[in-house]
Amino acid sequence: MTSKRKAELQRKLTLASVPRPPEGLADRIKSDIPKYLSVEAERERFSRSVGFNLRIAASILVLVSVASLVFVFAPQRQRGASPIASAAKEAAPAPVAMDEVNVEIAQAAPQTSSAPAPPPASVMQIAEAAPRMEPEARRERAGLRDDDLREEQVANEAGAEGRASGRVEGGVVGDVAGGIVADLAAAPPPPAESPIRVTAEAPALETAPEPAARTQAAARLADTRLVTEAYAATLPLAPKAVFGISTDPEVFRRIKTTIENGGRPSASAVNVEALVNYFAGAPPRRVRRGVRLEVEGSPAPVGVNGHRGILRFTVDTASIEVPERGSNPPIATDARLEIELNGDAVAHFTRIGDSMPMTESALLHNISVTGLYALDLKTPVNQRETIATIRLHYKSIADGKKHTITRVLRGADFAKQWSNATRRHRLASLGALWGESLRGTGGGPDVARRAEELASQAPGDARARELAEVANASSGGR
Amino acid sequence: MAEVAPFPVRETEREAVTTHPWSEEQRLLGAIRAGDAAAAEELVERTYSAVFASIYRLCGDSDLAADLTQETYQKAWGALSGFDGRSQLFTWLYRIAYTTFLNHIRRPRRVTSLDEPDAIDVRDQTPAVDDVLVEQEEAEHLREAVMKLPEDLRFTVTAHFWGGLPVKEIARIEGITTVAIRKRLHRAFSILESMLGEEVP
Repeated sequence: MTSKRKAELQRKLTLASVPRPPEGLADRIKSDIPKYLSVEAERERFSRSVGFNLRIAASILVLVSVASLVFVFAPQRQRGASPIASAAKEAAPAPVAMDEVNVEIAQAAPQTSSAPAPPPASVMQIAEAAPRMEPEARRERAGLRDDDLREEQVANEAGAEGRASGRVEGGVVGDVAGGIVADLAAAPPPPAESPIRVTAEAPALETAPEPAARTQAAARLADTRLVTEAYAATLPLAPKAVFGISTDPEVFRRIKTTIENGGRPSASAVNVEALVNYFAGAPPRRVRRGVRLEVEGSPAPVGVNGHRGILRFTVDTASIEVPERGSNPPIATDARLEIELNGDAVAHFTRIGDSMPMTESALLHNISVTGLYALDLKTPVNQRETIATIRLHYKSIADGKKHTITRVLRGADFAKQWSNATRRHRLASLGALWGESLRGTGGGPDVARRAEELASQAPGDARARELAEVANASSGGR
Repeated sequence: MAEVAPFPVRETEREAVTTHPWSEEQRLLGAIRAGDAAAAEELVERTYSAVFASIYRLCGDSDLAADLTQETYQKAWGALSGFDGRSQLFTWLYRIAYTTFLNHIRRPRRVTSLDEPDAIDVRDQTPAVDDVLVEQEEAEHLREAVMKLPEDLRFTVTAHFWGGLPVKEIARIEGITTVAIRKRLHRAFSILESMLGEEVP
């Protein structure tokens, strides 16, 4: 190689131009700066995490021991649950076993009260009519369990992506089983001749009117839950809609209860947006600071000719602990979402759910909200072509400045396989299609098949299993 | 491309990054390790342009480079306690950025996170000036050729020319002599020349 050629090559390597970094990149990077930077603080956190692990390990040992005793002495009581609830039990074995332990202990205990036994019609009636028995002990047990789950949840959220299934499982436990424990903590044991089966009775508990059923103790338990575990939508004081998008988890529970009882929800009762948010859930990793906008595109999962795409946007805000009886503080104000679709590439689009202006005067911490669009793409789709630009404008409370996060989806994002999308995206889009099928658009069996595939790929993912079960049940399968 | 900056970084930035007094860097590092978030933000301000530029040269995509830059710093905060200070701070950052880029190209593509200014550029991309297009095409060929180099040569070339690291620093992090690094560069040039053929006069 001559020196002239070498110099020319060096010149080409060094003198080429690069664009300036996008505006806001420095802010994005700064928002990721962790709260604990110091090595000493890191060591303290490590010590604390070791303590957490030891406590969790001890709790698991106790749980397994008690669960074994219960299985030995009362094996029949494990049977008879509905298919959907059984699946949820399989997906989250240890915590559900704890719920059953609580129930079984209550059943096995002698009737110490002089009050008449409550009628067996429903657990909620029992809670209202009968006197309390050993409430303190059970409340303590429930509280301890809540703490353990909270720590497990935090640990899971801090873990690697590969452990996402564990996080989801914990979330389900926090939402469903945790609620059962809280309510039962205030309820006296039922008579021996009307055994409570947690899995069968759970819907009745969840659908009963809350103010009448929940005692002060139960309400306190619910209030002390960590927001990071439950995310805002599951908190008593949390907004049930963000950016006009419903995040109410009760929608799914009501539908599930209806299906479990052999019914079919009316079309008006199926809020697809809420179902999307139930299945999209919290982020795989805990958001430590600021506001995050996640977007993803994929082909539609079922029943399309290949030109239908699903666009997902998710806004996650930093998760913080909210003190007992405290409120969930805002992280930003004047938040606004903008979705700009490229008319040259998109022939038609539909917002999945109801169309609402996507603004939020105050964006709270611990929020996770997901929305979907169905896009009919013009063909052929250029892989580099911009399909959609999604912007989140907000004013940060931390620095008082206005910020805009912008994300762009291109043709390549919609050309990939649906199965290569993230689990969050797949669960959200399948949840949407399942909701649409309940509204009578058809395609239920296809959704059930896809959900079954998803669940079989990650047996520990309770949300996927739950979706597969309800989709199967609602489409006439199994 | 709307607005360009000379590569690898503007002189002022280069100065801040590579020739910053050693004691100043130590001060910054010490403050960050003591938990000073303001020092961490100062580090970001001083280095992010250069990190972005080096990643951009690796991937050729401004939006992707921005995402990978952000990911680089996320990893850096986590790995800060393991930084022994034997190399310069930017050298350490560059190594993380390079690994982040390699991880990205090795994993299946899932989520695209892209930012506004270049998205608009892409949409409005029309061949306005032929020279610019030719230059861009040549740069892309060169980038592709560099990416095809064996791993050790590729890292050396990209770290030196695109990351702006001195030969001595590369030798330090690679654990070999500066002579060996120069030999690597020489070998890399020979391979690049054969790859690019007549494009190199």
